[in-house]
Amino acid sequence: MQTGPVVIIGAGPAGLTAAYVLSKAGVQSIVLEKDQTTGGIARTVNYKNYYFDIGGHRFFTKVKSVENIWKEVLGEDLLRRNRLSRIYYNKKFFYYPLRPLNALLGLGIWNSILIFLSYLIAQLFPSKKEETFEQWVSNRFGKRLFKIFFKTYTEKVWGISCNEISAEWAGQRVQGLSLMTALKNAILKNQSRQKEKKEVIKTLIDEFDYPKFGPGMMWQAMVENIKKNGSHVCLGKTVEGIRWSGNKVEALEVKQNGQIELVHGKDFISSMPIREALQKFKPEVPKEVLDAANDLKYRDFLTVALIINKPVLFPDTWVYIHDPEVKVGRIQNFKNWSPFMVPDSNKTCLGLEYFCFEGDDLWNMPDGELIELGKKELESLGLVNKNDVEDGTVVRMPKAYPVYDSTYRKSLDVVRQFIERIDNLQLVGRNGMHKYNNQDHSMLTAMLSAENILGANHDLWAVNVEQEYHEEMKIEPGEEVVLDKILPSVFSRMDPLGLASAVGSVLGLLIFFATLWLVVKGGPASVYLKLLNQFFFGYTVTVKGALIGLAYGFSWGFLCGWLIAYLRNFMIAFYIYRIRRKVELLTFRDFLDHF
Amino acid sequence: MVDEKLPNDEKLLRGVIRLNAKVYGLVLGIVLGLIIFIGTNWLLIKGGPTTPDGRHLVGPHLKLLGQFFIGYRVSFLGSIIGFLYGFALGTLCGSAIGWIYNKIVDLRTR
Repeated sequence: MQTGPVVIIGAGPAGLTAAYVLSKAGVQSIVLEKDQTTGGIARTVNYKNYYFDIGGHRFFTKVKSVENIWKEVLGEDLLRRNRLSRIYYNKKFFYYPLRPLNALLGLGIWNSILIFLSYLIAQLFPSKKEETFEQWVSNRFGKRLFKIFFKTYTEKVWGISCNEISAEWAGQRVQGLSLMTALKNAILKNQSRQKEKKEVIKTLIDEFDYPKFGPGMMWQAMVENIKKNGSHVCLGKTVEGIRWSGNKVEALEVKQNGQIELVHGKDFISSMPIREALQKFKPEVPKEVLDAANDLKYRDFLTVALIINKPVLFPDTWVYIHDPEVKVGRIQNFKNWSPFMVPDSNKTCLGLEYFCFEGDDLWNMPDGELIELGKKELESLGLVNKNDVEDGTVVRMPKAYPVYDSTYRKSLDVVRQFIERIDNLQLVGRNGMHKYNNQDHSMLTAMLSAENILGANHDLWAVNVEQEYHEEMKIEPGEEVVLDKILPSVFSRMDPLGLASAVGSVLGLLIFFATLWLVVKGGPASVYLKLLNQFFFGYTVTVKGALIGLAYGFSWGFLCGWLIAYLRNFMIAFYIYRIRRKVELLTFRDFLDHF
Repeated sequence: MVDEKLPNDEKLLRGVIRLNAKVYGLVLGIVLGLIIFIGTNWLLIKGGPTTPDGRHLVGPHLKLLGQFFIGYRVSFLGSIIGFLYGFALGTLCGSAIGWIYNKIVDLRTR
């Protein structure tokens, strides 16, 4: 086996992107993939020329560099598709994000009133603790809405109670977005033209790009490009051991067809699940690191693809199934993703997605029974008559999602601290970093890892939503520096005592000197200034009156100044609160897309 | 303006704004000057009652400002003089407010 300077574990979006970027820079790499196909979690399966994905993968990003790669690799084979993804609950479709009228008609007036009251209670009396997913969502949407629209689906996805899911998972993007960035976003967006704003919003919500034959087309094209530049993508090769010493990985033990060989390299990039990776270190990693790695959990996934003898079923690209009566969590309509995914336009291919744990009852169910289950559930939902189902197949995907339970953060920190000691190993991608990345973020971490090998010094763990906002707002570095300086000056709070004292002092002194001036000079103005005693009892146009006027002036000025500062702080705080809430809701808008 | 040593979000949430005394002075000066200038000219345009001996009585109360602003009259020239006095007084007061505020904030955040 040829040794290369860079060895990449995993030929999913992250692994392939790293190899692609390196190959463009003239650096050769070897990509090792244990499966017989590329694409990882984002692969496309071909079953009798019906193409289907493992969980739909939109090609949508706010990160320009990732978008450029997509266009570079696929060009015109990227289709612009309309998105429609609704919630199916109680035999009705609900738009997501929820639309008031649609929700009202679907849920009924009484239910809607209860939801509204529950929402008000949440706004007025939010739970002070926000440690669990349930608390996080309930605080923002009310308990009732949480129970109807989020609880069932989320527990289907994760297989654990919402009380056990860390709030951090729900708030990941929000926590990653700093207040400063949110303010810059709000201010710059307000300055952009109305039309531009509408176009951006429309694009973000309603459309996405998608390869003609699914994401698999992207990965295949990438592989061809990588190979053209002299690098290798090897399928069916399982990494059985990671040999390391001191602060370096020296080689990988790679198994194929029962044979083990050593692959040496100068730099290593791993997108394999981090738990697996740490288990393969030879010699073993320290016990506390291994325990931490073993604590990291994953949710697994299987798709039951059914071929239906109907040209049209529903217009949605995918539907979230919130009904607790059925096990299916989500249904993809691949024909609506791309008409090319289906060879016969009189038929439709649906992907029924079941979230499970490897080795549980669903996972172990024979394929035939799973197909029957899919048919039965489609019929009970009222979507398809099971007699219209012609054929089906099952694909299982282990470790589809890293689980953010209550202990994962601590465990991940231990693992990260250990990995950071290894100079020539970088972790990328969703499972590689145990980070709930979308495809584009996974690719971004890989791009940055490749750049690090080429001499850059990116912190891959810092890739988060901030990147998206920077990209979206297209803030020039110079502008950003200015904004960083100006915003705290504008939005920091004013000291009420300071302003009260200042205004009181100046007003008091004004009245004092004005009175003294008239005492010394005399004149008809004294008669009018004396009228101040209608408000300032005891005030006269005398020296004693000047002192009384000073005291009154100071008092009233103090009160006015304090009130001005308080009102200013209150309005600024309210503005910041609204920006924060808006950002939370905006990022939560695509919450269901993170499954 | 805000404690520069704090990181950005901390500056926002924990920082206390400082006032630019010059800017405050300038703003208050311009505002007060304009109030006097516009007020005076408004009365001139509006006119006033005629006294029994045929004189127009314009701004009998505003004219008292002349007790403080020497040279001020309710006339166009007076409005310009009033603007200058108002500007000066406003600048002085605004700067004083800014300066006193900043001193107090510095003392409290030390």
